[in-house]
Amino acid sequence: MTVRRVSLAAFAAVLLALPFAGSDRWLSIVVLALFAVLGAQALNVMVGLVGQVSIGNAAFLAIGGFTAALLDEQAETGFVLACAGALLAAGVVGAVASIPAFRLRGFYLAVSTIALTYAVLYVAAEVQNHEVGASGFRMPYPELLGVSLDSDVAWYWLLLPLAAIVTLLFHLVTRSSLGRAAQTVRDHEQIAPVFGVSTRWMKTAAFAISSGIIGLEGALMAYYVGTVHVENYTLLIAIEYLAMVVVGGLGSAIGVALGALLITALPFLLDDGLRAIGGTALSARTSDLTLIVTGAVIIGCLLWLPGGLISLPARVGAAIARIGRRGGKPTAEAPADVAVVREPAAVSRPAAAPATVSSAATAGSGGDDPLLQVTGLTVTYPNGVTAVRDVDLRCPKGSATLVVGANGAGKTTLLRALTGTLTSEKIATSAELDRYRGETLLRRSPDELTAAGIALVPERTKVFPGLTAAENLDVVPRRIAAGADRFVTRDDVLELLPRLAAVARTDAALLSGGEKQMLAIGRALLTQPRLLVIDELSLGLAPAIVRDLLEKVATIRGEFGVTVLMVEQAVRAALPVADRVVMLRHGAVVADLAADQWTDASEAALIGGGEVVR
Amino acid sequence: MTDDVLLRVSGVTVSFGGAPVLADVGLEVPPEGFVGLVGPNGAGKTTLINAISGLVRASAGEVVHDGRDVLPLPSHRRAARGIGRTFQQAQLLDGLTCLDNVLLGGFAWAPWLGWLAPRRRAQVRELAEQALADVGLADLRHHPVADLPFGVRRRVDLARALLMRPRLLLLDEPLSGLSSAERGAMAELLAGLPASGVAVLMVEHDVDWVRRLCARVVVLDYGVKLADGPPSVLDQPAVREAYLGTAQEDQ
Ligand SMILES: Nc1ncnc2c1ncn2[C@@H]1O[C@H](COP(=O)(O)OP(=O)(O)OP(=O)(O)O)[C@@H](O)[C@H]1O
Ligand SMILES: [Mg+2]
Repeated sequence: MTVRRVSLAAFAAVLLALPFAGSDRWLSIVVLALFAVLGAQALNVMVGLVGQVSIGNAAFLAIGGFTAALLDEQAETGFVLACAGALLAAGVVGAVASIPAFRLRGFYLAVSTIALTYAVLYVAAEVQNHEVGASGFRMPYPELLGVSLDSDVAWYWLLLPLAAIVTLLFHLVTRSSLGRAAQTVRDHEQIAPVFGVSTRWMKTAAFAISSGIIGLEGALMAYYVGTVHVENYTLLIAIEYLAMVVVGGLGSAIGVALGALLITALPFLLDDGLRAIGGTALSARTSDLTLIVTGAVIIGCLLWLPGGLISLPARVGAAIARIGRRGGKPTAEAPADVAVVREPAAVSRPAAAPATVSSAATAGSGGDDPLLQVTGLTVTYPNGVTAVRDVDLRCPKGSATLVVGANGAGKTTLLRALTGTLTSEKIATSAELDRYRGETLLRRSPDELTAAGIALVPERTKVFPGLTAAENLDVVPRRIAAGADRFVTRDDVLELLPRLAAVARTDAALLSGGEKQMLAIGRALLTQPRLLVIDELSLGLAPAIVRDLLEKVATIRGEFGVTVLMVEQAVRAALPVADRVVMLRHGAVVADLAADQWTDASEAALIGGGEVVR
Repeated sequence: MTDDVLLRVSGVTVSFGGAPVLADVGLEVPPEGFVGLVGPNGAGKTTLINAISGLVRASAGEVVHDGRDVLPLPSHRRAARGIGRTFQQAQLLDGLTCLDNVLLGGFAWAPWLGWLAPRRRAQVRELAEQALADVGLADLRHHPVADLPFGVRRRVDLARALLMRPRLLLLDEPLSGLSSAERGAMAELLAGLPASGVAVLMVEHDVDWVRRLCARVVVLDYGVKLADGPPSVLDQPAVREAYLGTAQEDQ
């Protein structure tokens, strides 16, 4: 926080000193950059804040430029009124242009803004031909409050406060309740109205404000350059502005300002650099090279800094913290419950750590040969939270293990670590030993694991949207090795879950919550799993279905020797299906006992540990 | 009649192309009432909540809230009239903290707060922190919601709905994904709502809690109302067959 304040203050100081200390060349580059800041902030309102992708900047710049030219040249309104007119005209066109956005999203909306650009440019070309011909409009040197804007220094003092105010305003809006409402339209448009947010109003306002400011920028730019010519407005401009917004940090006003400065200045910086090292040989080609390098920088930003420049300090901080953790003696400093690196395991560890429940003998049922054996599994999220801590788990072939614990005890993380859906370099997963049919599970991709016979019914993302329910089921069998015995057929699934037959042709995204859950379970069964991993079977399901499904799980386990590992809140209901119960608390195993030893006391212990998360 | 009814749904019909998902459904929620809505998966419970809150368009019927038919109103106007809701799958802004997510609930009655009115803003914030504390998440207020467990996310969702200060709260399976201990705590919170002036219409599959919490239960079966009355309607043979499964001998 203070680091940020200090760097902002330093940045402001440099900006303020520039007209006195900097070269003329740099001053004119900064003036261009300030124009860019204005336009990029405006675009960010639409794209970053409300999520309406627009490639229409050129259109609104043109509207601004031409309106100012017509007003000043023909109507002789003077500078201020011409700018106000430009702002208004572009704002009105922007408001009208928001109408397609009521129906269109993303790519389609972007295409509609391209169409708008061409329509506007067509009209502009007609106006230009009619009024002044091929040479375009000439703009006079404007005057403001008696000061003639005929030098970079004068423009600098006009644009700097303007850009700063717009940036500050949008920065505040982003963090205000209005900003949150806008973000809801962006991220969850369907539900925004539930919180009193009118999506149409929000989109129209965003379009109008954004376009108005871009129109103002267009008018100012016209005065600054001194001419208005239709050929100066190209789609490329719009792309450049998008790049500023994305490189700076979508949705962050401060980030976008940085992005605009960087993207504007980069070609000049490179130019200087190339000339310096390459001499005349290179300088002939500098403009090509500059384009290529600029492009590479943009792509690099998108790939490695997806949060934009604004996320750089946080990323660097996290990296330093990571290095620090790796290097130092972290376990000593960190409080016990956020320890990141586990102490090297002692030779023997008690089978179940501080057990509040009578810990049982470790004798598993269903044979000695474990299908899955995990020893000392620890999972740490990038934010330093250890969600699973030194967990031992042994699932003999054909056994059924029930994992219980409060929300946040680490159940879901445990299952995800075992099914490959946690695979991500930033999540630290470690185990002394983990074996599934003699092989390791860690760092293997979910599809490999599915092919190896591990199926997960996930807690959250359950279905493939855009495919019908039937297609969701059909996706599966193709992944199964030809040799595998098929003990669950599609008919079995439909018999077990008759509701799926009724909604077979509905888009899976539109299914009810319970129907999605049924689909996920059906799909998992169809992979003919050797290890069936279920995260909350009963989630959102009517009681009758839960009972049927638990019976089915018991059946496939009994008849086909499928090994089951399930997390379930409805402990009582699931107990008859299980032969072991493992209780987690704060990521660690606190009890591991045979299902028939689960007593009211165990239940009380579970509830006792059932306070909040992490 | 209208005096002791906060919400009166009558003749509501919704279809998505094919057969109607809701056919001529009606129900009533008194002020300070607690009404349960149960039925098999795909029966149309969520759709009914969507129709009341305005996310889905009903092709026929009336939804009278507080003496006025709100069906013609767009969803955001209904929110402003005091209809709040939660979602079966909590829909949160993943980039924000718990507190910031909850604060969205204030938009319905204080849309322009921000830098404009710092005192009001502080008041909304206080209420938001209170709502988070009510659902037992005071400690997590500055925690990003993205990596929170399912059951915690849905409590954030509830806190957000509470900050809307609704007169009618529509809850879509508030207990699912919670452990039994958490269910108890949540149920206690919900049970206190009617007394604080919030009428509740709750969809829930946990029949035990439905019996305990609800003064009245409506049973939907694939678009039609099967039963409507005190919780004992759950014991009717038709309801057992359609919803609980025939072999139900009950907890
Ligand atoms: N937009 C839509 N288009 C088509 N069908 C839909 C749409 N929304 C819901 N449905 C269908 O309407 C039916 C009722 O869905 P709804 O979500 O209301 O069920 P529900 O009673 O809430 O079930 P659950 O208990 O599983 O949540 C389902 O079969 C669902 O597939
Ligand atoms: Mg539902």
